[in-house]
Amino acid sequence: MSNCKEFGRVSIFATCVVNHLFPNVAFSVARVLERCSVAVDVEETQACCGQPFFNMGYWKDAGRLAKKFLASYGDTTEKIVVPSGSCVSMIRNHYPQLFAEETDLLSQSKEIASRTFEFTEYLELLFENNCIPKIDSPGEDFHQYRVTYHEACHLSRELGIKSSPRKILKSFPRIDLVEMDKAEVCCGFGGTFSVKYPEISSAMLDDKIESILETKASTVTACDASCLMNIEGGLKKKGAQITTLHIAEVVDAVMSGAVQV
Amino acid sequence: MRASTQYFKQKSTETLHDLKIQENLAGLYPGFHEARIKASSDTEDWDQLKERGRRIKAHTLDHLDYYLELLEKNVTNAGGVVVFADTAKDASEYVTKLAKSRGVKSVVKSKSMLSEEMSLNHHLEIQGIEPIETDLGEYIVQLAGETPYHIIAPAIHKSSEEVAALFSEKIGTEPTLGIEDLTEVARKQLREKFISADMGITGGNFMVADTGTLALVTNEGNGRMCTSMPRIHVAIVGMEKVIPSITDLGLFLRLLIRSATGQWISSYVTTVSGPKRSKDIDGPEEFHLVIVDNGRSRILADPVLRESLYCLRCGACLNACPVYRKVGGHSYGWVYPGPIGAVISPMLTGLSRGKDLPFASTLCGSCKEACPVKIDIPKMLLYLRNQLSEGTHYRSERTSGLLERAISMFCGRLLGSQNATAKAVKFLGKVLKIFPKRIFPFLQGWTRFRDLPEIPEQSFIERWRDSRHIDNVDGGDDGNSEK
Amino acid sequence: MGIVRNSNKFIERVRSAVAEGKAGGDSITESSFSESNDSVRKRVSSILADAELAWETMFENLYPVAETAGWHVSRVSGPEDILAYIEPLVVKAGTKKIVTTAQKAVSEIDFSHLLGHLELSITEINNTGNTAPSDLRSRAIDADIGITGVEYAIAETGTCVLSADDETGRLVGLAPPIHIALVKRGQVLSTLDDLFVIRKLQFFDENLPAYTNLISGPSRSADIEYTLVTGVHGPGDVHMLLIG
Repeated sequence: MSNCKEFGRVSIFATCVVNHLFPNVAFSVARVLERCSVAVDVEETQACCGQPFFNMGYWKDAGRLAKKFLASYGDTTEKIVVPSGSCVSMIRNHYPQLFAEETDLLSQSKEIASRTFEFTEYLELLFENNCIPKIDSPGEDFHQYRVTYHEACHLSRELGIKSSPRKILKSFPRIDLVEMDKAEVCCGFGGTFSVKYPEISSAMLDDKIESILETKASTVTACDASCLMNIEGGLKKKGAQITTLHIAEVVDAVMSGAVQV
Repeated sequence: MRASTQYFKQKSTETLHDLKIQENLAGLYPGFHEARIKASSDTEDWDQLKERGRRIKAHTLDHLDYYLELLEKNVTNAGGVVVFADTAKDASEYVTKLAKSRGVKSVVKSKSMLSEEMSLNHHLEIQGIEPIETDLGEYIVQLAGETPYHIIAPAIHKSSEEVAALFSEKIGTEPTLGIEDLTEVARKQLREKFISADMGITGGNFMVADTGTLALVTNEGNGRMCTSMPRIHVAIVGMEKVIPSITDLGLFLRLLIRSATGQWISSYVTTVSGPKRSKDIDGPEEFHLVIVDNGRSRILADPVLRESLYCLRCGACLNACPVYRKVGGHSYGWVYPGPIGAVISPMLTGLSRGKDLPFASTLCGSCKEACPVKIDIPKMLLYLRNQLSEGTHYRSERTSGLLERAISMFCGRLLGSQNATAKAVKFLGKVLKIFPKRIFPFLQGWTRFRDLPEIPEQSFIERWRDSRHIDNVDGGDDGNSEK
Repeated sequence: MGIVRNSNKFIERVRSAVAEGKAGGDSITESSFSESNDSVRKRVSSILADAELAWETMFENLYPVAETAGWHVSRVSGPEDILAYIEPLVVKAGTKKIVTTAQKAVSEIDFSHLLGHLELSITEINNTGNTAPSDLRSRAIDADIGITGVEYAIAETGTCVLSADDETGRLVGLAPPIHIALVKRGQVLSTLDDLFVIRKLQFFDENLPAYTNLISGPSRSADIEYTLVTGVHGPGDVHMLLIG
């Protein structure tokens, strides 16, 4: 696996939700990458990518944050790995809109976007280059994790990432991936939508929870912590006995129980 | 139709609590949404067809004046009358004056969303002319005194029991009729009306410029009836419905019909190129094509919003929208509901009045994925949000107050600093521990339905900084998740 | 109605809106809008030649699609076969009145055989002036079966193309609950697009029909609870006979 070191170093952009509310997710990202022989940095000046403000229509405020993002990541060539589809979509698809009138910033943002990856997107690159360590076959201490996967909207429809997460999950024999009905339907979070239109949001969440519980999985996972925060909040309120984990945490847990081959 | 877009929150909440409607709305996903997906995946090069359709629409709007003039010329040469109506009011005026002058007593109508914009039925009624809706779904909502619930299935919110009760009340039939019997009742009732009507009013799915042809896509046969039985045919169509050539019609029929109902083709596609020719055995003596603006030119003039005029009115975005599937058509407060409605209803009836509509979306993107001409609805919703918050194109219709803008600016600056945000979050965490959560109205939206996440002691960056390394591969004590 | 018919003001407003909101993407190659008369004529000749030469294949292609679309389809060899097909239909439905168009495909059939022993009235809807138009209209409305030929049929979609003209009234294939469409060799086109190229040529040659219906099955609706019902306002029972 020595050629994997050629992947160089990557920098983790944690995102607001992970950074401040679910720090374990970022640690899982770091551990998984290190197990794949990828060295990890964390840019300590990182802050919000600006998406919530962009979505609310406050593009001036979003622009200020976007500029800060460019400043934080502009002077390296490192790849940036992000445990969130919506933040990557912001950087890849919407920064050009914010910088439409400013050519220098526009080209800088395009350059940075070209080396920004969602976590499973990056893992798939590693996977294709055989950089993910093989996990031993199930032995005596084998645990089968029955996991179901929720498709985050920006990840699947704005970035087109639908198969990578499933591929990654399926690559571990310890994971029994169970597809839920209507996996591609929105969980109802939508940022401020969840508090501006709480009844609609919770009605959508109820449907999502119904789909999840029908699978009888022990864990529900996704690539976006904001979706999971919404889903977990609803599951806990209903007292449902199912664990909510970010996909990085799932992969981390499976790998940490592994004997390297 | 009078717009009541400002009641979105109220109406959507009512609909959410109506269990019967929720049951009927749940049928949209398997009934229409999955049917469309199947039909489009059975079609070769579906994506290419969508791309072509989009480009032709873009081109047409870039030369709309040219194509409208060509259309007018060709329809007029064939003996039709073309009328350009600036507003819905002008269009209604023309139609009612025409009807009066021709001694029209009753009018049979094939489905037209534009006629809802015009409140045409109301205007005919006050002139003593009887308008009769003949599309089964429209007939039902007309009897019920309601407005259409969905672009292509106007009565989809009603169960068959409700329809049976409605027919019983208004027509005097047995209150327990099943769907087939109900349809038979409608058939009999409306047949008499078709036979005796003096005028047929239809909408139009496409207006073809190079041959001066109107195309109607229907399944029931009422479109054929309305254009065959009465002596006058009036078509009212939005000006954006024009396509350049008859040779484009095949493409658009495929895009529209598969996206609307999942059929390969509808039972009927009717093409009208003027009134009956003198040698024809039968048919309307007069054909009037009323082409309506009613605010569409304002949308046309906006480079971002212009693509909303590509809309084929297939309803696919409604069926794909997880919000529409919960709140239904009436919540949107005007003729056009769902994702496309969230853009054009405010633009056509007042942006500030309809300010909720662009925000009542999670921007999940299902609408864009479903659209047969790839309209980027999320992009337009974001644009409208920007215009309502701080934009300059529709300054007089901006709705966000100084307080909201100040909050955004404050939070923007706060979130620009890793440290400041971390401190604020921790502070919030402490406050939440001390004070009961229901004090915070903003959080109530969350806490009524969900538990709040736990606020950790330290942020990721802070812990990273402190530890400066991560534990080795064989597990460690640094925040290993439990399963 | 003077104000409303001021097309200049309307078009001017559209013109300036077009300019103001221009997003780019001017020319397209996708539309054959500006295709030349000659090119269209060539295409049509080739389409019609194919339809003639490959009539048997066209019938084979059309058959299953039309059935899936909801037609009762049958291959018949000529007028006798057609009568043999219609007779049990008439008996089963208790038919008393039939209306037909004056198209060749129908007028070639000698209905006297049926007329004799089955007590039927068969009226041809035409404009020879022998019967008053209002009378013809009532007969079409009261009829149990309508028999028409077709202008074309389309294999891609299982469609009969029916255009109104001096031989074809609008009500024959619409008003009665049963519609029988007779399709002759050489009338079947491959695709919708083929039909529309023909229309373009007809427009050039100034003989575009004023009124056409593309009929692809029985009248239907799913407006109540997504449940499919047939025979709403148009015929619920449709038959396509492929002659040849």
